[in-house]
Amino acid sequence: MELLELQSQSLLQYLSSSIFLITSSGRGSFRHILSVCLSVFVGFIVGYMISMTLGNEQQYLIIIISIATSILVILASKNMTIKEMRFLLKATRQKN
Amino acid sequence: MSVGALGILLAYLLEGLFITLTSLHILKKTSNIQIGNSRYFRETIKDALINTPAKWSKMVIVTLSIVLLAFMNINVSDVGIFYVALMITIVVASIASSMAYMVITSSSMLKTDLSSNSLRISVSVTAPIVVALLVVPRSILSLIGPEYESAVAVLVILAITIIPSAITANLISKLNNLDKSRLFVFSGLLQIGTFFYFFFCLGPNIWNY
Repeated sequence: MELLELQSQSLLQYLSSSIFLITSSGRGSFRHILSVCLSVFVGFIVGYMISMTLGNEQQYLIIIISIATSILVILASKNMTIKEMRFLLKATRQKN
Repeated sequence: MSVGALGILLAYLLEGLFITLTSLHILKKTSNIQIGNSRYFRETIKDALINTPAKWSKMVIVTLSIVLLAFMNINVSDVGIFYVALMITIVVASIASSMAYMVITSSSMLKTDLSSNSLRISVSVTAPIVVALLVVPRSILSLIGPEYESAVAVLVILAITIIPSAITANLISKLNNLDKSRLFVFSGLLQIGTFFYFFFCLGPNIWNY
């Protein structure tokens, strides 16, 4: 229980500082932050619903579908383009 | 103190000295940094002091959490399990924070603020990993070892902190680029203050130990 209390403090600490910084540094990035939160939420809900339907045995399928849903929401909200994603993958491959 | 612990401390000290001297030597040779310049030195110290509260807040979470768990007489294996969950989230959050720190140098070189793009891209890259951590935390922990599966709740809460911490890191780099030092110091102090406020509010059980 103490572990969870400590982690709740970390969560509240980061939440308060990020809300303060978002409000004080202008609303330019607000839309991006909202769409990322939405992508996490939608990905989680889809993953949760699939695990409820199929059971916990299909772990790989749940991960793939929930990650794909989250990426789709990010692309649909124009937070990141396919071109940027390709560029990042290419750069990571070149570094390796 | 045993010889082993002293050896680790000496190795840590020597590593620090070696890295500092080598970095200074390379910097002096490759760039026009004047190490003896007092004005430059003062500006560096000022920037370092402005950055300190934000750095402390991270240290408070990582180090103080472990120290508090030891202080509360929590089982050593539980502390180990918590530490593994913390490490997983630190690794995932480091994608966004390293982007945020790297964009400071790029912005100063190009003389334009790139932190908004850094925020957009880094949180977009981090979000699918956070989803994976939230959806199948048990499977991810079992990859490290079946004994870590009990840290599911801790990993879920820590995974939720990744996005706010990524936003904080990127907006701190934005304040660095825009030279808004007062806001910057205040945000660091706010983080430390919030941690201690909720520490006293949420964790009264801690003081019973």
